[in-house]
Amino acid sequence: MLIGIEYVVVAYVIWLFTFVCYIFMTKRRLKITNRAVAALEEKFTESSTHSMTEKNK
Amino acid sequence: MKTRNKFVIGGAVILAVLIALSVQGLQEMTVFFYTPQEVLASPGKFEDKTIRIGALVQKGSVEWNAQAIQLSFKITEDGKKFIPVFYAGVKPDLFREGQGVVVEGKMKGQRFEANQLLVKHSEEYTVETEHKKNKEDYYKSIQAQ
Amino acid sequence: MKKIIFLLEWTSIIGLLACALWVFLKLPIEASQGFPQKIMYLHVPSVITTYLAFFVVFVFSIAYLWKRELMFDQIAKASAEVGLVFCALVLITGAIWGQTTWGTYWVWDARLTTTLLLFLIFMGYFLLRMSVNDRDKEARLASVLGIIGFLDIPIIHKSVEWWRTLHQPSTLFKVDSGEAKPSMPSELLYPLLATIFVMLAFYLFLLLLRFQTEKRIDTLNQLLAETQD
Repeated sequence: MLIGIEYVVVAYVIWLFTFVCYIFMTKRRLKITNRAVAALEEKFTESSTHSMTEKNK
Repeated sequence: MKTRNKFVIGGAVILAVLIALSVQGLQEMTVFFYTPQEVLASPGKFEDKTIRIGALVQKGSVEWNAQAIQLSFKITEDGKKFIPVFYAGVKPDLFREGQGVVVEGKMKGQRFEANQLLVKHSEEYTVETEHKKNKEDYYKSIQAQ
Repeated sequence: MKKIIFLLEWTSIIGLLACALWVFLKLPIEASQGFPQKIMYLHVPSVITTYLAFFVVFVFSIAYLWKRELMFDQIAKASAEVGLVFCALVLITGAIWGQTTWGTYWVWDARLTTTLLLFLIFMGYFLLRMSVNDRDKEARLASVLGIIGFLDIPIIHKSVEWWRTLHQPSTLFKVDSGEAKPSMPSELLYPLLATIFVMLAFYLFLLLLRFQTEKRIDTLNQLLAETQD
């Protein structure tokens, strides 16, 4: 009755696995980029406040 | 610059593959199969050439020899002109009489010797509810009276 | 934005699971193909999603060429990537389905060949993007290719009517004497429509997530360029 069930299973597993990986990778990429942006922005504000205090002196 | 060159080479390779595919593909894809009528109309043109023919399996023409693994049947598109097909291979699960098929092989005299048998399936999907349908039709006919 | 993405993510994932349960537990077995017909509930919605994803690329590519707004290119790029994933899955699920019904994973008929062409065009789209360093030039060139690439879709869709193919004509968009008549009983059709709807929501989630990432990457690149100055 369930002839060809292995094909159906393989198709669904491939589909699912692809998106599990894709979502995981995209989220990780977003996280890493967010972190890098935050670090750079912090560096910017630090250096600008630093130069400001220099000038004030 | 070096990584850029890599991408240029990669792009060139893909482009080459694309062109090769389209040339090979276009030839094959526009005429994926011939019809029995076309083949019978000009036998000289197709003799001993590997071709595909698409048609329906004539009802009552299928002979399946399970021991020798040999399948023979007749294909037609209009129910008038037939081509007998011989195929030495396993019968596909969905192979049925009246079904559309595409066979690949060569015309050998009057007979087509296939080395590949593909089952075409129609765009119609059905569920086995003949019983239910008959019942509905019955009630409809009663209501119509 | 974050909230919308989160909401879309979980409603579409739960929706997809519900559709799968419906398909596997409630649906009758199709008469001629039997069990492997269930691959249709993966294959056809993926096709529709691929069409939509590349249509979005088409629209936002035109919008970019017209307005030169960076955001438009980010959306086009995000949609192209998601579309490419769906397109690959169309080819894979189609091959598996083909093996069970036709008896072959692949043939060079018009429908399959033009679909492979679509996949290769958008592979080329990303190679093109990677090979250009200037952001605006990258976006312009990619937009042109994105517009051209989309034009393959009407050809794919009509291929089964224009040429002789092994692939059967469309079930869903079948027209009988001017009227839309999907050649499928409603008990098989409704879950298919439901899956298409949910998969489009899933696409929207992926698009927004990918777009968010793209925006941040461009911000990062700008910051990096500033630090180098």
